[in-house]
Amino acid sequence: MSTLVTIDLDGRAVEAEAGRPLGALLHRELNAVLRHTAKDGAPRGVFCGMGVCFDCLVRVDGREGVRACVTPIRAGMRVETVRS
Amino acid sequence: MRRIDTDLLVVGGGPAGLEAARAAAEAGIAVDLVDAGFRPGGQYWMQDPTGAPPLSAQGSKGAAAIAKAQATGVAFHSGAEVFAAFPDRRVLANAADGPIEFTPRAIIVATGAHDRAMPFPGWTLPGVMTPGAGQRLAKLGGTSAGERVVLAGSGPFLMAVAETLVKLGKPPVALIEARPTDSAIIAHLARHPGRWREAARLLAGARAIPERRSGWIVTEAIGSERVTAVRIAPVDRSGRIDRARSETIGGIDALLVGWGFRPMIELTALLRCRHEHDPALGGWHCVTDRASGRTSVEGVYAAGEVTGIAGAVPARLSGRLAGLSAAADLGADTAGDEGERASLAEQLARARAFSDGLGRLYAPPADLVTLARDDTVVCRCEEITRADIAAAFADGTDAVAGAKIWTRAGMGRCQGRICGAAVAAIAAAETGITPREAGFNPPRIPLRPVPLSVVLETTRDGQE
Amino acid sequence: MKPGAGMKADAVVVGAGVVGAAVARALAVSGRRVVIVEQGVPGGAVSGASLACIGTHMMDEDELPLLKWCCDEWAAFASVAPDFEYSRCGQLRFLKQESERRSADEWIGIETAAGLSPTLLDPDAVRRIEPELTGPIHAATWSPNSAVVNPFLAVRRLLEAAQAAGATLVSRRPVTALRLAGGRIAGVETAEGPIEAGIVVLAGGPWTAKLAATAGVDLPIVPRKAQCLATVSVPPSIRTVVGACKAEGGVDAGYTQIQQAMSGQILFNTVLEGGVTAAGSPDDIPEVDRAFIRDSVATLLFLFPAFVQIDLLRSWVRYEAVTPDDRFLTGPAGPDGLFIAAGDGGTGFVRSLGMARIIADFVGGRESPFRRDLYDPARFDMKAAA
Ligand SMILES: Cc1cc2nc3c(=O)[nH]c(=O)nc-3n(C[C@H](O)[C@H](O)[C@H](O)COP(=O)(O)OP(=O)(O)OC[C@H]3O[C@@H](n4cnc5c(N)ncnc54)[C@H](O)[C@@H]3O)c2cc1C
Repeated sequence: MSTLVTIDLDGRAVEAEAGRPLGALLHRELNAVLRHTAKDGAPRGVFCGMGVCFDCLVRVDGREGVRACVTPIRAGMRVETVRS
Repeated sequence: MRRIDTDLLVVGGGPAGLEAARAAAEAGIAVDLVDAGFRPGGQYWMQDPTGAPPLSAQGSKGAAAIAKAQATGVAFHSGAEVFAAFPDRRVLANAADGPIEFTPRAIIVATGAHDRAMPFPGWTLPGVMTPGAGQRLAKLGGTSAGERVVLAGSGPFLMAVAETLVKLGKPPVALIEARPTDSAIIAHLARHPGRWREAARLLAGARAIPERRSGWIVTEAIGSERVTAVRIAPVDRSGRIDRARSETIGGIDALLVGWGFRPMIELTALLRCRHEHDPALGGWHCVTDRASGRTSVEGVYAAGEVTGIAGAVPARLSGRLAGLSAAADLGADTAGDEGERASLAEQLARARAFSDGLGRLYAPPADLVTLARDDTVVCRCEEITRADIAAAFADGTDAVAGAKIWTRAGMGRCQGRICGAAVAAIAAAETGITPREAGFNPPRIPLRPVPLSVVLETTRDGQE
Repeated sequence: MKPGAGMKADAVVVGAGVVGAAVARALAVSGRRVVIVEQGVPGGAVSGASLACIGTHMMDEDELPLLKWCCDEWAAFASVAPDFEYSRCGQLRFLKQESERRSADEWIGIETAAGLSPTLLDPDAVRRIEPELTGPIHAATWSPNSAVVNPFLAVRRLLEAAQAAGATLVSRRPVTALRLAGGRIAGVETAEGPIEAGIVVLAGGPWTAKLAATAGVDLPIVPRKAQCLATVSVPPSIRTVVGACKAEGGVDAGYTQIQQAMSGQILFNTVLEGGVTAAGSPDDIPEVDRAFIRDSVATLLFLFPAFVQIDLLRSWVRYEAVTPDDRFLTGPAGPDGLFIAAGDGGTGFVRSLGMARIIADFVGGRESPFRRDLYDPARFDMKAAA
């Protein structure tokens, strides 16, 4: 049933199952650290996992502030993390 | 933008929304169901997003309920997030393939709940998340939150998450339940034999967890880039923490902590329905007439967790009741339904008695608000500490609204959904008001951030 | 226990918006024992919804001396108070077509005569100041001395200054009526008991008329809907206050204001000619209108087309207090001891310090450094009588 696709994660090709939440993949691939905060530069990862807390923000295909946890994995998507 | 004119819009595709939609559709009403999830089912009847068959009996039940609703002609819109609603009942949702405008004659809000998180030192570390997040990583992502997971907080949902992790082959290394097990819990269960099987199943699942404690609470998460250890301390029945007897569990890589759920009231609040505060129901919730699901606003109904945390059984019952009464109010021929409705209302009252009791038994401990230290971030979005908030109260402001404008707590992207209850608790601790008086962050348009391009597209032909 | 119940003071200030906070500070600094009573949370009404531009540009010719005085006072306060994000960023008012030129020229003349230095810029010059403003504008006026402040922090700092001078702030305590004794003001009633004082200043914004009526004073203040939108925080992309207004007709005839807060959020609103200015009860908490959202977003994107993918985060609605001539009612009214400072007409943030000065001068028996007859609460009665 599931289809394996390739996405671009910070310039690296990563294989993943299409349709699953990007947040789960990033949690695994990035050792839970999805970004650093603007003010304190503190590490953050998936927290609520349901699109409510806005902690798992990444850039997807150039769009800022995308919640990884509610974004389905699509073939060829370009994901960039925000690090300090 | 797609425009959909319909009789009834159901918002939320969990047990409450699915039952509501099906009941109304069976009565001959045109129903659209909009849900933000990857697939309908909600949190309880969560479906695998790749279409893989359900892992559990619960998932299969959900699949059946979705199929039934589909068979009655309910039009599903998954992956669509409602971001605005207007007094004329127009509802705007944003989906991957563009925005949708619904113009329904009635709305049933069945938006469910989200985990209640409370701040404590280290709670912003990656690897620390809500139990619900752990559940979703597993069920939607096929991933465990970690190799060595500690599960903590309070309430029966922790056992459900444990069950999922066990199935995934990653049983938690410890389950830390704040509520001391005692005769009150046993006595409550004894009064509701209908729930014995579920309880026994969950308890059996928990046996795979090497370390199980009740009457203990997580006081701190430790780590630099990811959680690696957790401090725990005993907490007594009156909710007092005994830090002198603290212990550390090391070698972990994930910590799931939650204190039950909070109703997702953003849409009912935006629609100006009446809300009330009851700690046993998860705090602020939408007030409904239990027998009909009617809210204080004409044409707006609510069902499930948004009307007060109670779990899946009351959600289904209240959903069906709301669907039937909305259908009747919309002019469907529901003569002959009175008997069913009376029986549903009676079942709902019984199911609610069980869940209200659980809600009281597993109420968050009194000392929970003391966990955050001065330098602990309370508002995760704007990175506002407890000291910042306390200083604002010392300067003469008050309540959730006062903290928000003087510190920005609650002003970020999540709009106070996560920190609101904590800020209210801090207000209560610092200024002596009740959490009810402290209020909540009123949701406004847009309910979730949405690109300006979408806003323009959905308002371009807007009349008032 | 909360402070305030059964208290005695020299002066009670009703309302902890920017006007009440400024009045409380002025009275406390001049040695009066002040209690500030706020029904909600300080700054939580109109002041907390404000874009808080501190400027003189294209406002009201007669008020220019006061506005200049206010701008200087704000700068002075910023230099002594803890940070409230005061920033002299300047203000651009864009012209869409040549026909708007005459009014712009007139304003530049008036302001130049008053010692200010506004200029008219062509689109290229505008872009040197505001590089992202790439929309097809005709020209813009530039007023370099305008500033902005963070409205929440500004109110907080004024209240802190008042408290440092001995004032007491009581939140979440509505004043229900005025107390009279022997024909003069004796204090206020609250749900938790009276507060006695020989001076009461009503700085209650759109609620002021209702409270004044409890002492038999009839004030021509009506509530008018004011709305605003905010995006999520983005990197610095707007430097100034960008706006437009049809000067002749004031806010009713069309108005735009766009700026970026220090938080990174872009705050913006546009009210088109004949647009939404509905009156309502200030106790209502309505949502923004669809037409307002559309006009505001369309105007923002007309000027800044690159912002199209930025997320909208929030909207809000408040009721401003409006008088027949859009100027404050500030000064004594009705029974001895009663003062009014309300009726801001939508630009009360900048004026608040001036209104506070007027009240303090009346109470202290001094003259004011600018005309105060413009704000006399009885001016409409006098006109009617004449
Ligand atoms: C979107 C927007 C943009 C704006 N932009 C600008 C700008 O750029 N520059 C500018 O100068 N101005 C601007 N303004 C206008 C400015 O914000 C207001 O004129 C100013 O804040 C008014 O202050 P206030 O203290 O009179 O009113 P408020 O802030 O409304 O204060 C009145 C207070 O009195 C309290 N109160 C009322 N009745 C009672 C009672 N009975 N008991 C106790 N308390 C009571 C209320 O709760 C309230 O807190 C803007 C306004 C808005 C809405």
